[in-house]
Amino acid sequence: MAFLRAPHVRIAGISAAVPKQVSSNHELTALSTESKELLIQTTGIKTRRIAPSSITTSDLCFAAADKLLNDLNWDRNEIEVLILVTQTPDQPIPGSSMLLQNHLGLPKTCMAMDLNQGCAGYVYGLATMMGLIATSELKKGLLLVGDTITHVLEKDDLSTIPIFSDAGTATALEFDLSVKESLFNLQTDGEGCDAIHQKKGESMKMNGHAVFHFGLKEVVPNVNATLEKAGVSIDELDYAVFHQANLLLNESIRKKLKIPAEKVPYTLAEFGNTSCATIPFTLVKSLRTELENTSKTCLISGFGVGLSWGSGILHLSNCVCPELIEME
Amino acid sequence: MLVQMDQSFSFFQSLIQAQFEGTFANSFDKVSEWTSMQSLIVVSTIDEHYDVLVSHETMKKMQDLESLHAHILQQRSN
Repeated sequence: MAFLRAPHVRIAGISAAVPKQVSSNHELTALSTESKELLIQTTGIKTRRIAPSSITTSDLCFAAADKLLNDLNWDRNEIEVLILVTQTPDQPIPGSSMLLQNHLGLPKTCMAMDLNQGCAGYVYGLATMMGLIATSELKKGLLLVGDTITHVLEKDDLSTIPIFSDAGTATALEFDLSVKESLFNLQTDGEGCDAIHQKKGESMKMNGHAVFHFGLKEVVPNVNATLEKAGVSIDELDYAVFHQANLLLNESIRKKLKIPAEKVPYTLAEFGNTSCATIPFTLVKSLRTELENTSKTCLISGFGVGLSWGSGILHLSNCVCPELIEME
Repeated sequence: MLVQMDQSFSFFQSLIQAQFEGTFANSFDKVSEWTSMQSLIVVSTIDEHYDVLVSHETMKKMQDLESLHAHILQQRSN
């Protein structure tokens, strides 16, 4: 099992940015009224945010990061690591993390790298960043997680268009001896790589049934193993923040894990499935005030393209969370 | 205390009907707009109540609720 322990790493802040343009599932002309109602009821998604072609992944992540760094009042010269998790970089070469290092005014002493991950991407990115900081001399890092996934969808594809949405997020991390250990449990099954895929020159395709089957089968044992390894019970969790896939799948997982509904926030209705960004986005949008003013033990769980999935236990306190940024 | 699961067809039928406000037909070819969403709702309901995960391939082979119910009972007895 790929368990990772990361002691003494604090999440100092989380921020998120979305495009201002809203698209509604009530306006899907290819579906009958009855089918639209069933779609909205099943996915839980009413509206989505769509980035125009002029807004890229790095634009959304930059907006989130710039605001967060200003609110934290961090000296940008102290940031030693930047990781960008995305499947929709601005350009193939070089990685967009390099563009963002420059654009954000980070020093040349900062290492930067891209991580190609989808719906499990926040858990993978956070585990990687926290692991780096916990086991090195790095003191401050910036994890940027976002996608303009709507840019790679076929406009008539009803298996993807009503689901996906665009967002960029930033998470600031720092070494802090007073912080309790975080724990992660990461898994992969490349045999399921066709469930969600994009071939060169084509749009992204998704086999909804395969993804649903995978989610029902794999997420619950992964989460239970993480809780057991961390020695944390469901009762001890303040919140469980899941990748926002669709309401039917997420609620099935929640019920199987016997997590009370009030501990599981959703942002699906207004913002849809923002790919790798859903977890930090939901933390900011739904729990902003509580994360800023109190200490919380949170489970996070991401699952999807790869197939990749993973979960983690985080201890969050006095976390700076700026208000959601909307970009035109 | 273990609660005995009602394994009857009538219970299964009522469970599925409840998801669709009683509009779900027993024979799948009579279900209006038998869509992916409806199929996923049925899969989710079966998983929640019977702890049996039915694949899309298996769902496609099923003719009606009776055959699906028989498949569930067979999986539970394995």
